[in-house]
Amino acid sequence: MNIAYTEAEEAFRIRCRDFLETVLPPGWGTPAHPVPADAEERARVGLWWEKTLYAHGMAGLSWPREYGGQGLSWVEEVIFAEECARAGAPSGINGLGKGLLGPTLLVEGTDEQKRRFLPPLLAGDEVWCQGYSEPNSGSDLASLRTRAELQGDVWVITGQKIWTSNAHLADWCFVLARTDPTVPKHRGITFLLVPMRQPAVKVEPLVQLTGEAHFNQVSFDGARTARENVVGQVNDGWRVANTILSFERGVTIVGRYAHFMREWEAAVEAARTQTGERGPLIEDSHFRQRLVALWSEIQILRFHGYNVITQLQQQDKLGPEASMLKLFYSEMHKRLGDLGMDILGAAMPYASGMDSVGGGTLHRAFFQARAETIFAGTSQIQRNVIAERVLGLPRDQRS
Amino acid sequence: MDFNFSSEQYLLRDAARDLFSAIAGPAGARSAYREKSAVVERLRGPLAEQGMLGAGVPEEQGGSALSPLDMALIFEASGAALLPFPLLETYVAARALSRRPASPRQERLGPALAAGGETATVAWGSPDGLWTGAGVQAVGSGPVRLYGRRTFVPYAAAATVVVMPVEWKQAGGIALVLVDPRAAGTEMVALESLDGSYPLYALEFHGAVLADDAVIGYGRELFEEMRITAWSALASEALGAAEQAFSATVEYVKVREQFGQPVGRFQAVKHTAADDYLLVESARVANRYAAWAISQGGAEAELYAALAKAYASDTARTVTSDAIQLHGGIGYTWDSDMHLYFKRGWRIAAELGTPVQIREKMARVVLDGATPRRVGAPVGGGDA
Repeated sequence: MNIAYTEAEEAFRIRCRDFLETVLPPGWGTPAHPVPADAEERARVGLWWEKTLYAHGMAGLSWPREYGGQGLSWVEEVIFAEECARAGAPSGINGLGKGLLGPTLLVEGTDEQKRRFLPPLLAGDEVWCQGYSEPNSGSDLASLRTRAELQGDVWVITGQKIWTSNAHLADWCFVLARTDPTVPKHRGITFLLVPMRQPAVKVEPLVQLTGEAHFNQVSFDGARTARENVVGQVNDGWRVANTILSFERGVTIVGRYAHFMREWEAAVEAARTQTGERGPLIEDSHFRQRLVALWSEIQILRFHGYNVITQLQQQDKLGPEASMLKLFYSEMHKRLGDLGMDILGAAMPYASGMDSVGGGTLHRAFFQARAETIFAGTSQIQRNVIAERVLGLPRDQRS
Repeated sequence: MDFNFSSEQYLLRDAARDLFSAIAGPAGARSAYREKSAVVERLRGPLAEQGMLGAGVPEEQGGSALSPLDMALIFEASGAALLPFPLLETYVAARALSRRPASPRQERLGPALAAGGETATVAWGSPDGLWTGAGVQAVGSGPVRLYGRRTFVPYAAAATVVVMPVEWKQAGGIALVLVDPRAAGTEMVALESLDGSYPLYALEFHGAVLADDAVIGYGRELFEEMRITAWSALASEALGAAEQAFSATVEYVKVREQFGQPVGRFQAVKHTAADDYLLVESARVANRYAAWAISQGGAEAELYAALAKAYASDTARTVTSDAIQLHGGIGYTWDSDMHLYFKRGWRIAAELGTPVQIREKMARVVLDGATPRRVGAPVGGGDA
């Protein structure tokens, strides 16, 4: 056992810190310079961030150089994610493209597809959204009904997608569509790349419970894409889509403990200023217990990260147990969000309380956590996955 | 980055697992429920033969000086096998003995512990549950005599020597000493133990003479270092017991049928199992990091040992409770093994501080900014 990074990895970490210090405005990530509250402004910052990463050679760290990446390993991705979280760096606008589509294309795409799509994705010149969920296909994603038909050399797509983050800003969408309705549901799905900027694609904002319109409903009403824009084989899209879920659930989570630590520190800070019957809440055993329990869980997320890095280095892959990380962090984050609200106490119901205590961090964590236990597989689905694929319990009667 | 045990450490674990399941397991634990400390006599030979009792003894005294990191997987195995033997106490005691220039008596003790000629235990209990010197006072001089009472002395009837902190005003407040549980002026009282595989005794001191060569060390440092090692070891035992009960439960719900199908097909059962799996795997990485931190001898050792002890304890409590629940009515019977794990899990969780007490201690570091304690260089080396 040796929990240490190599000299080269530590040098890379320094490079990350230097980069972040150079490009982020002074005071970024502190209450003095909060994340923009306005969704449009945040999107603008998100795009600026993608272009900045690319310009400084910090985009696609583990992707091959020939497609605009840096040719490094997963370990550098993890180190950079950790440093970004520590510095409170903005979220890029192409997160789904980088986290899901890119890794999929690298495994399943043709050389031509990789050359065509990966460089502009990394450069932030083309923004991607994800067309998976539908109004009637959430957890049971494979029941999706959006149809794609080949007419000559063109796929024609008709149907509804929902929860499509950044669709209003996207140039392209990676879509799961039904191409054979006559076979069992998992076998008739195809993974397509569809241009968003065409009249047959309509995007309507969907206001989430925070009051912001971060995601959308997307209708494809005879939208078209070229025949060659299929990833993998026709009707093999379910398998192609599942290639990358393990990435989404594993590696990207690892750096997040640093982000949760920032939120935890904001909760501690709030507990110092908020008072109860017996003085500051930080001196109250109830809050001390919960703060220490959450600190422990955030540390455990860090330790799980060491485990993930070790597995990636020694086996270059993650097992199905990686899905446990998503369940672990999202449920933990929900408890952290709830604790923040309990510390705010009587100030919790006031949105303006966000400015005076915790700089809005606690409310953001509180809301964000509601989404995390739902997206990318609800906690209930994650538990099914663990029970069936890791523990070997019998599958229930899902058709 | 190599956040894993070495293949040698896994081999040691495999050997320990084979041995423990041959000599203990649920059947062995049940015999301890009946025979109390007498079962220790039967296990001492095979454990000594396989080198298990010399794990905390220096090599020059015939031991193998294994580090807490080496021992983490072995204590997981002893927890899983419900081993009714003071293996953890022997290790922690032997390690404490080896930390100081020893008296001739202590030099004889190391080899005797390793060979099984003597058996050590530790008097863990003080009234606050946190293992201070409170409860027993050393007073006078020529001779120094002991007065007071310690409860929570496991396997005392089978032990030849007990390691114990005492209050000792003339010697700077506190000292770690060796006592003979059968010496004149010492009374041993058998208590009723919730975990019958871990028989508990009280020792009452009515002026027992503290021998000149009985002092292992003065001051808090040494016995607090023992506590850190013990926290990590207990966390491993808790994990082992939890994991064993958990895997037995998963196997059971695959075959137990109701409504014409295995109950493990129902999501209510699956989701409890998945949550328990998460706890077990999270306790595993917490324990791993704690054992590493101790072996590195850094200032973080106490904090992360505390984290591991509290988290693995909560895990053992929840997982062994769920094991009974998911077994249904049969899980509540004496014949089911689940209560053996349940009682062991909850007992370990209460030992050397409950999760709530330990988090209070952690709060002083993580919330109030108290400096974590630095642990001295480990005896058995560390990395590997």
